[in-house]
Amino acid sequence: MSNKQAVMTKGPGERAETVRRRNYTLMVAGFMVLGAITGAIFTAQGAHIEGLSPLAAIAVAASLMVVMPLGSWYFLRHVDELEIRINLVASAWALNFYALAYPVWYVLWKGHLVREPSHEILFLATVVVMSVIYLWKKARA
Amino acid sequence: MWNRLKILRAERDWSQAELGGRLGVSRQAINAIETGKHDPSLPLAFKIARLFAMPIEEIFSDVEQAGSDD
Repeated sequence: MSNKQAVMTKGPGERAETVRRRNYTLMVAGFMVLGAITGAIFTAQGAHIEGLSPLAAIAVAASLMVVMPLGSWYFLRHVDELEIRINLVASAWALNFYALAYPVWYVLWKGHLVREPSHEILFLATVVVMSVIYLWKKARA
Repeated sequence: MWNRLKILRAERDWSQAELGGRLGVSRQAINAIETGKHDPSLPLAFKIARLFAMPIEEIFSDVEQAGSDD
């Protein structure tokens, strides 16, 4: 049976599910491309080494403040309740990780045991924790 | 929570994707509900009950009803 024939024999629910999955994939791919472009621009500008000009910093901060909440809102409006639950669980784990990791590192730094907390490392570690929990919950669902 | 979703779906010869599409949720969500890994929200439970034209309590139960489908 060809792909075209297979699609034609699908019921209305399967056709709707195919459309929903395609939209979901496009949405996630869009966010990934957006993130990659932002990261590439940031890296190309050497912002992590030399810093940004005040104007560029305001522009990037303003863009993030608009894109991130709107992107999250749009995403959560267009996914089902299981996806929302998985996202909330992953977010809660990430928040708890950050709420624990930062003060622990801070206290150890104040005790002259480790170097000053690194914002970049904490941010990346939080994103990694969120991603791992998300993928783990997604795989188990 | 125990539910009869898999049985009701099988009676209609629907795939998980078919049921998910009819309910506006993913195939993965249907699988998670059927395997007891996810309890549906009340709005989704009502939607499921409407789709199968049955009262919610005939589809979902907080106690396992062993042999009730024999």
